[in-house]
Amino acid sequence: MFHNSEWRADSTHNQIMAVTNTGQKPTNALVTLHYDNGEKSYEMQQTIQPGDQMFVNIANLIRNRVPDRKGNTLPADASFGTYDLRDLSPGLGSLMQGNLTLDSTFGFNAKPPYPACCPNLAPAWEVDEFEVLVNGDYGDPIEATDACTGGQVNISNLFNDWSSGNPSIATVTNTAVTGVSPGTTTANASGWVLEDGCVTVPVNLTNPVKVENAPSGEITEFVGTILITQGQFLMTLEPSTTSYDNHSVTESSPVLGTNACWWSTSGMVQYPVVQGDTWVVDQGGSAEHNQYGKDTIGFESGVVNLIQTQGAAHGVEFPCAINIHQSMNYDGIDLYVTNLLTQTVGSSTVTVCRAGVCSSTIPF
Amino acid sequence: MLKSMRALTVLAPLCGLISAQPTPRPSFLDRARIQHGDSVVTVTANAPLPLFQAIFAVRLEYGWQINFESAPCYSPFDVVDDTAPKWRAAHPNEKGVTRPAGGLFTGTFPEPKEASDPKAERLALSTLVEEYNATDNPGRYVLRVDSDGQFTVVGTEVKDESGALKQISPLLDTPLTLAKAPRSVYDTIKSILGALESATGSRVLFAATSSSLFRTTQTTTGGERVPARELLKQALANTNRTIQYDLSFDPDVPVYVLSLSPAMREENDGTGGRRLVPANASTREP
Repeated sequence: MFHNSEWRADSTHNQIMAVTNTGQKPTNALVTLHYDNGEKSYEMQQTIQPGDQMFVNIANLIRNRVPDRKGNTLPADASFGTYDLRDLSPGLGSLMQGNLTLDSTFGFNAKPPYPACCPNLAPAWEVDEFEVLVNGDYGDPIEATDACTGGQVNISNLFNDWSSGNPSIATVTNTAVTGVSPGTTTANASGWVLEDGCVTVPVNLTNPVKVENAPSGEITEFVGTILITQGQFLMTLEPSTTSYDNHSVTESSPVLGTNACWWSTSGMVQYPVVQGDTWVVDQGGSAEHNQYGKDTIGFESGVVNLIQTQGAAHGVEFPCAINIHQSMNYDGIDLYVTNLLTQTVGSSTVTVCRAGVCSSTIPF
Repeated sequence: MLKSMRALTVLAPLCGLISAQPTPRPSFLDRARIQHGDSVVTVTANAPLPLFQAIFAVRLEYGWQINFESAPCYSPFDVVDDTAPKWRAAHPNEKGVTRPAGGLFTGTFPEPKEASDPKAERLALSTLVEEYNATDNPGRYVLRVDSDGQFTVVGTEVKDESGALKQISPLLDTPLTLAKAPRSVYDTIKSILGALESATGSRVLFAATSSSLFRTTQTTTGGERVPARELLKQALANTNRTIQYDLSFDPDVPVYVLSLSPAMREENDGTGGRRLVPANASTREP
């Protein structure tokens, strides 16, 4: 790819560009003229046979209002800008470009300005290893450093051969690695990349792929109370045959909950939701292998006391229940279970439940 | 079990309750309604605290993080009787309970072109607050734009026993000194609320029904003579979630209650229902 070269066409300047296919097969060239400070563009795409050339006379395009591939025309007052040249065909790039700029400001002068060559340095996938869940996707763009801008660019389109070391474990395409069954394999991609020195070279990339099962569910265990009226729970991910240790689970609320203990000055949330905690499996507190927690649910005693002492006068019927919907996601992606969290407040008792597992009746 | 709140209820200043007149229990909206016009959004709330109900609806409509501090209304010009008939029949000689005397509030603001545009959010909220202050609903409010770009609607005026508006010092303006030490966000919030009670005599309950995030997140929040609001937001920032707070006031006890919730946006789920989408944290220009 050549880009950010300048063009100029006005009453005393013009530029004629010649793009030659030096390869053995037809190729597809895309010349993009940028104007209006780069905010607008004009695109010409043409298939060039081996040995043939594509000519671009910029002044002619402007004067004759020649439409581009999208039907746009260059405005009559367009006079300068930049241009890019891209070879859209996969594989080895075979385009060579030459320019002739005409300047009659101080008499006739013609010179061939060569466009800047912008190699793609250090092409690689953005991760060292793909970790995907069965039936899960992981986007796999190949990126490189654009030597002209210093920025990272997606060069996946320069790779035309994508494969998996074992398609029964994972499939690999130019857009994603997809988990098929638990196991390990490799992702492979081959292409041609313009490297330092403006030489197009073959590049082969290989990355390890690890495919895992997401949890199929979890077992909830009540482990005790805190601040009298809050329940704490510990969860074990299933199936036990798979290790989920050091992975994360995150809660969210898919919909608003309900609060039958609420009244307008109670200060409680009328439509409760979870706060969005993230736990790491087998880390923190009393969590062991495949376990995470604790999940603390329910209002503490001060608020429960407020409900019990003020609620009835405001029309709250006992027992009243606070219901919260909690979705659990594995590694931030895979939803494996949705739970109902409840705290039920009686006039002198409290019960806290998670996924149907409840504390005993707490006298309060 | 001794229930301290029951004792408080009996001993609490009556705060105008004696003169609060029984009124028929009106039917309020469960949630404010939002209608989108050509270029204007109309919010219709009907609740004892209609501005809060309107703000709650706007939060969910746009996924905006908005803190809310209720004006601590207490006089019979701002609160009315809210005693349930059934309870009254069973307790004919006991003190009843009150609620803010609010009702219908309709506010309009320009439709934000981009929900994530802080200027549009600021215009919407300031317009709502201004329109609310022009009604007879209880409390007067201001919109504060905090140094971190967060928006907080703060109650600043209530009616006194004579019906005149009087300025109040928002509770969370109270400067506090809190030692910088590693603690959980939960313990930090409890420390802030404890310090507030010591400094002002006002009790503040912490009402979080899902509190794991605050128990597992560590912080070293602290400082000398820092407004309580700042300490609270510093602590919440450690969760890396867009957590918003609501501070309300129950004049019957009396007690303040602090609740927390993540900023969320509610959208159609494609099957006729509604679903919640987490609001993304964004860096805002003050």
